[in-house]
Amino acid sequence: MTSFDSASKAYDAIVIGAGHNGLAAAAKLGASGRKVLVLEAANEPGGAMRGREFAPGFRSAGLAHLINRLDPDVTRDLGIRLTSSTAMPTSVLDGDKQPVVLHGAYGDSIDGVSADEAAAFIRMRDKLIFQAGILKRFLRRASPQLGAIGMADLATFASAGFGLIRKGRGEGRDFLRMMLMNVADVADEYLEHDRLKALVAFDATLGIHLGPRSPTSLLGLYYRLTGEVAGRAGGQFIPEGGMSAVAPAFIKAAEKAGVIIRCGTSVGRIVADRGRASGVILADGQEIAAPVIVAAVHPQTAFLQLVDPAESGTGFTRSLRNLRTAGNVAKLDVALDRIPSFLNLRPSDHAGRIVLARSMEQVERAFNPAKYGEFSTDPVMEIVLPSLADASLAPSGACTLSALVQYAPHKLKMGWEASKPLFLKIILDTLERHAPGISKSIVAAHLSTPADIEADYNLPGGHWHHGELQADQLLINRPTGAASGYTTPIEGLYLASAGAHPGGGISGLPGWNAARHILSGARP
Amino acid sequence: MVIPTTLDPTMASPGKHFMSCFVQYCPPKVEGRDWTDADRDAFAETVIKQIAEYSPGFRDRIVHMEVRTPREIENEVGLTEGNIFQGELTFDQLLFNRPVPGYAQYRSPIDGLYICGSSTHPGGGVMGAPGRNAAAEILRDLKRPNELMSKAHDVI
Repeated sequence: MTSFDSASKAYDAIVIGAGHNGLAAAAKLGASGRKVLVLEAANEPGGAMRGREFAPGFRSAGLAHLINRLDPDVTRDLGIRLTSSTAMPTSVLDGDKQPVVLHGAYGDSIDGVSADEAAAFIRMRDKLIFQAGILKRFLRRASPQLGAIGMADLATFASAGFGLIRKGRGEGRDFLRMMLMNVADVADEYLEHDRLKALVAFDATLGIHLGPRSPTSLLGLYYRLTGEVAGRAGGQFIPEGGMSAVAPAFIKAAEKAGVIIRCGTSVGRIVADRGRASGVILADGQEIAAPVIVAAVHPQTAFLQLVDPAESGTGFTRSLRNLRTAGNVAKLDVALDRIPSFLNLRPSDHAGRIVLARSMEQVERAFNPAKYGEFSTDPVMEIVLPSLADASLAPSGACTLSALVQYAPHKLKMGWEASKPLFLKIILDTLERHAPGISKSIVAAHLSTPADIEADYNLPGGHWHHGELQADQLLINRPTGAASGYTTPIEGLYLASAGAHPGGGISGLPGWNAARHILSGARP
Repeated sequence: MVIPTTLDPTMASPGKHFMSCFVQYCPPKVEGRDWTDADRDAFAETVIKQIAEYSPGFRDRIVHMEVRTPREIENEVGLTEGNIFQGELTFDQLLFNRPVPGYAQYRSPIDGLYICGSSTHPGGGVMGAPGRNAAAEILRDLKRPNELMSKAHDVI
């Protein structure tokens, strides 16, 4: 095994998975002078941001179709530059009345509602952004460890507490009252307008197995509002060059830091002996040693597929099996022979985010069937026209449409194979209602259900957050208590994916935090 | 569903029984409007039908029946929207948030006026704790000792 010997001296760390979090971890480790190897099973890096041609001449840039929580500390530190000069409004359509259009960061100004209603929305938004800001302090660092609360944790708690009382007792009281409420009750307290309520209900529950009236559903909206764009909470953008530019930016950062990325290289097993990880064995049998292994894949993949359960322990294995990670959202890519026209929507607003949701009740009723393993027959969705930002995605004059459609439960009672055509028809009929004539311009439509997402991106459950973002799977419980600080029951094995704190979305934080945590320890 | 006469036969004539049911879910409004007598009777019929599926012949044994929807509960005992806990027992209305933030200490905005119903901490159910806690707070305001206070359980 000479290759083993030479390899054992070669790498300080192996990162499994070249998604953006794996690349962020690798870049951070590489920049500190460590020799890092990234292993990616697919033929190209990018993880869930891997693009593909879904119809001849039409490309999709991957699962995500906009950015709303890319962390500025991460991008600054790793030298990632992703900016956009064009604003991205959010339009909420009900297929009938004038659209409600939010401009600026989550509604600095709002068209289509009365001045009073816009003011009420901004009051609610500002309150929620303030409260999200309290929680945000906990996102850029490892979550506190029960039984081992350190000075830095206490400082974070103190600064959160100080931040709370600085604004007066009333704000503190409101935060302690509201934080575990459901988004519907909060929306009802502040708003009258159906579609503004529909928007916050949709944003709070997108990607999460909760309806607006489910307890704690407000956490999803907080999570969204902890994201910022150009210093503004609740903003969103598509970078210059489109979403296809995101993965390359992370890849460039990693390569600049001296990281070696090997694609088409599937890891078969993580080598661990008596609680200590020492390398990986590839699917083809080759063994590569390193003192630090960073799993930037779904926690269930890492611990149920790659690690011998005897090494991690039955309690740990059981808690990972119980991880709630069944996806709720389907991704639709449509190839169109021209730019579609949504009812009453200004041409410039077509470049923004378009939400099809009539009312909070529609979101709630869309959720009901999902509880029983059925898809919504009147679904709600978020639409973006990606080719408007990145012309290379479609032939000249043509257009692509990307939609995240809710709710589409992973385990469908009737099975997705049998049900997918019907669900696709329902979605396309919904599109036709909101953009009359769009059906005739459809060249191809490709629907990825959570079952497809699971298979295409190796995401158990097809859940893009790597597990539900709910109170029982956040902070000290993400993904599970014993692995919540990026460390795992196996020494030398770290978790750095969206399944780790602070969770999913394109933030780069799980990977970057994990790397910082590794670097804070003694160099092995 | 409970049949208290199995423990205390004096509640009914000899050989007869009394049965009480709490039925979920019964909102204070029906599709946004107030309950009508017809709604109430229809809902009662649904409940009886369901019980009869588990207990054949049940319907024929009914001598007398009273149905209280949230409307009746509100009218008869003054519980707003017929909520038997005087407010949802959810986090935003528990502990320091019960009944509302800032007034969770049994005191009200009006000096000398105290609150001690189920709407106050620790909430609903027959336990007497809100009343006892409120009494302790009143004694505190009066600067009187509270060591002679009975346990709520003994009073009830």
